[in-house]
Amino acid sequence: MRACHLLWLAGLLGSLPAADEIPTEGEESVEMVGPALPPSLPHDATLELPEWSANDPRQSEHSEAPSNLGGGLWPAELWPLMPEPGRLSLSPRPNALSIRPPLDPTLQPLPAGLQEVYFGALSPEAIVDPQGFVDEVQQEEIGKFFEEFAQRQVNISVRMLLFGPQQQLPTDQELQALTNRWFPTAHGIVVLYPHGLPKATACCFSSSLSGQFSAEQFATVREACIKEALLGQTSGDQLARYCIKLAVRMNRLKAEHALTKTPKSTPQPRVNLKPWLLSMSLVALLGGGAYLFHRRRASELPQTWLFPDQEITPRLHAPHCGGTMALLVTK
Amino acid sequence: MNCPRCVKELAHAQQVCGECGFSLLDQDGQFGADAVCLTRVTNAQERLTAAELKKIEAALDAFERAFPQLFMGVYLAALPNISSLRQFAFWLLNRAAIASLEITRPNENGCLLVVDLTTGHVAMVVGYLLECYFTEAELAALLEKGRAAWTKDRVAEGVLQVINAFTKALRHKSRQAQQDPAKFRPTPPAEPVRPEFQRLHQPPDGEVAEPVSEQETP
Repeated sequence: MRACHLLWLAGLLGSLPAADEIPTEGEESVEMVGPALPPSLPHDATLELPEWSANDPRQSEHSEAPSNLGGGLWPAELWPLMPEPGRLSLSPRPNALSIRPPLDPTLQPLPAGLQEVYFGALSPEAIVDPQGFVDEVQQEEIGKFFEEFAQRQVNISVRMLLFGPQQQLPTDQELQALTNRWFPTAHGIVVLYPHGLPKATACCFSSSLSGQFSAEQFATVREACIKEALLGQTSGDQLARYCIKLAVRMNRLKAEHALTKTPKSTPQPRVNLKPWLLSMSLVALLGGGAYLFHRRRASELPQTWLFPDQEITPRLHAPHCGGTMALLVTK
Repeated sequence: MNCPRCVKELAHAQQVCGECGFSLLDQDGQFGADAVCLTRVTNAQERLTAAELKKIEAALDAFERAFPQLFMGVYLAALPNISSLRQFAFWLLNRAAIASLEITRPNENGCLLVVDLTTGHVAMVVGYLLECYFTEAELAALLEKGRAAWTKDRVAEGVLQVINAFTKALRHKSRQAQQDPAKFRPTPPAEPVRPEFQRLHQPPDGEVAEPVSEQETP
């Protein structure tokens, strides 16, 4: 009886949305702003509890979250601050911008013939799936979603590299270098998505985006996408949820950034009269002072007046004066 | 320009007045042909106080600073034995030697103010350089500036007023001369012919002589 009661309670808690998954102000209209979701995606928010199964060892290895935290009612941002007792990892956390899944000897490398398709030139399609994990209809629908909400509205290009669940990134490839090569100046995101394993996803942002947003913001986006994908039942459903969440999150992030940066980037021309008047008054004062100083100096300096030399012709046998005079009689 | 004696108009470079036969030689016979040593301000009868003399000297210093070519002298004396102040002033400027003046200020560049303390007459005579800038009427107008003071027997005040007025007039003339030098170029008028004077100088009977020329060729 007690075991049945505990199972019922666990199911009730599992059906509740996590704190991070409660729709926020920007997210609450995901379904409203976007185009019609693909028919393959679940429209009902009520999800059935997944069957109890042992955790995938690869997932637990890639996840640093303690097993007792990081889900349910616990906020996702809390678990890195609360290490699990007895499971302290001495290895440093990977850099948020240089995410590269650790090599696993149990995983298989990519087929050699597909490496050029994956890591060659930038694919025009948002979903790079040469192995055909998703059908073309879903690829097209997800691509349209990215094109509308990421590419057109906020000018962010997204490339989803779909791998098999047992495949890993080749040793000679690095996701951050690939992102920088594909998007040297533009806004771009490259996601390495092992099909069916959203938790093992690696997501890299271009340097232009890194200059605008912090690593904490990117980490939040990654966590939200993974949590959203984990809500999906099928691997295709998880991929669609992941893509939608990524597009919406980046759309909102970029819009908020534009709102905060707009007044700074395009300052309104404003005439500040006070310094202008001050400078003009100073110039007038200096000019007036210089004029008065010049006048006073000129008045103090002996100014000389000259007469042009003339040829003198004496008369009346007088050498100096010819008799030009005036006489005044005062008495 | 007029004759100091008869006040008739004189021609340019006329050596003897065609009306009365006046020349400097006549005055030399009366006062002497030697140079007369003077100071810039001659205060013969000690009519001026030391303070007044100092003021006049200061005004003359300012005048000489303003006009590096010119000088002005003041001669204050009781002159009971002269017949004409005009002729005396004319002779004095020609024969005066003011010791304190530089060689760059010859007498033809000067102006002499002669005040006869006995009669109260005042004469103002200018040298050759300034005669093309001032007519006798303009000089008379300058003398009128000091009439009020001289009438009240304030000699120094009248002298200072004339010096100041003359300074101001000279500035104006200098500015005009710099702008238009041709305006003050001496233009000799036609030499007047005086038949009466020619008759006076006729040779004795029987002699045929050339008429006396009143003008020397320059």
